[in-house]
Amino acid sequence: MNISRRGFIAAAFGFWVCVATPFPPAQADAFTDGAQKFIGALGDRAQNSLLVKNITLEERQTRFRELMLDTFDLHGVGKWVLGRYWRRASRNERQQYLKLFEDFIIATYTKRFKAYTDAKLQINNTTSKKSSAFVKSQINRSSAKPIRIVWRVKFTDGKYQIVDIVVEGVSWIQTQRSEFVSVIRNSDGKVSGLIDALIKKIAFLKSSAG
Amino acid sequence: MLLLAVFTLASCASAPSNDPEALTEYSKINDPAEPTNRFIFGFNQGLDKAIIKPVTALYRAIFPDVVRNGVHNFLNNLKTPVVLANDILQGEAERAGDTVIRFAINSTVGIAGFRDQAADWGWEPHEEDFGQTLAVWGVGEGPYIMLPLFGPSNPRDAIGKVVDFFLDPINWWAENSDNDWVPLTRTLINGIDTRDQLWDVLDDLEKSSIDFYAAIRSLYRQRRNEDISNGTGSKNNETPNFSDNFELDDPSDQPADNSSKIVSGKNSGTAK
Repeated sequence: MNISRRGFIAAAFGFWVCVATPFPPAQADAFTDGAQKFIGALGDRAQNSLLVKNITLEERQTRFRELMLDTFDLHGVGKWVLGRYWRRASRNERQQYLKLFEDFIIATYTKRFKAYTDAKLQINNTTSKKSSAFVKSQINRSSAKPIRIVWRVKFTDGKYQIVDIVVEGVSWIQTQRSEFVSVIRNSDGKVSGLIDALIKKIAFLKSSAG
Repeated sequence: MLLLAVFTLASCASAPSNDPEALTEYSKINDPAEPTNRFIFGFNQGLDKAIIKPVTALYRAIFPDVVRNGVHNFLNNLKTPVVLANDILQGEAERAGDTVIRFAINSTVGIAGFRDQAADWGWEPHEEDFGQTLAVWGVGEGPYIMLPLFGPSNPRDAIGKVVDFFLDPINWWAENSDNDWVPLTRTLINGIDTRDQLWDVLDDLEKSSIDFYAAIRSLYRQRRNEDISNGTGSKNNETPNFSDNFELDDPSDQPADNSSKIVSGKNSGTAK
């Protein structure tokens, strides 16, 4: 197992660093520790509330929304995803957009959780860079290969919040931004074009076809 | 080919000339031929709907998972010489070793490559191609291009594809023995296998995206960066840097209808 072999080497090296140097590595501070615990707790909570069998779609949606609003920086990410168009948006458009962004996430992902009821989140390690912690983890399933996930976490206003989810090297917020900005550009730079597209998409996802 | 080049040039989206923010955005998207690319993307989607997807659906209906996985493994094993050449060209000794060991195990115990026994024994597969090698050598990707049939690419990766074709001893043999049907058949089966592997991903993505073209463009780039850095994320920087964008409490953060002056330059809203 190539990955675990590397993991072993990394672990051995980590052990050596800890034992051989008088100071602990800078990474293992309160912030990264806290971020790692935060994601661990998120995994447990998801397992117990969201990734269970035999609940209705509505119930799963409610639980997902609750979990997301508690742990995800929807406002900050929503802003970032809009890029420079955030400033062009009116107060009204901003409010409408953020609400639609939330509904869009719920409509897109809730159905997928059903396929992950046997999934286990395994947390590997955490690093930090500037004000972000990167919690490296993998999702293990009995039937499929593990999926690598990095959780980017910030600490603001006394709590941890997720600001990005990087799946197999693909940043979720980066992908959303490319799409949203592209839609706005194709509507003559108007945020209202994105709002219309989101309304349509959410309606589609809520229909049986989605 | 020439016709395509002319067509591409003629329909280039014009670069914004006066607004620095718009210019940054334009160069970040790095898709100067977007109208043409979207046209080709539409063509590819039509082709997918009419032929590729139905054929793949048939393939999925006829053969169970075990068989399709076997075919996938077999095709991967055939790629060994090209992967190995690129491992070496990138100076990746450990990965080159893995590639050789994998080939030895899978070609024998793995029954001509149909079983990925090596992965079960701890030698996980990896991909390498000449596009990645060029990237490791410092060649930039160039503008995004959508190739007919082959899908998302860029000049670097397109050249890489051609070089990989000529690096492959199976193609030398086919050329020298007049067995042109071999590369052709292999390309076709490869295409069906790739479509099969992407079945759920593309379905989900098409359903959930509001701009499928832009989503594919972003995913292609991110995945390539990930592959180039061999999954370490070092060159991909893992995730965009938004340090200055998450604190949007400065005056320029006022909504458009709330302030007449828009401060540009500060908090420019673009990720590095």
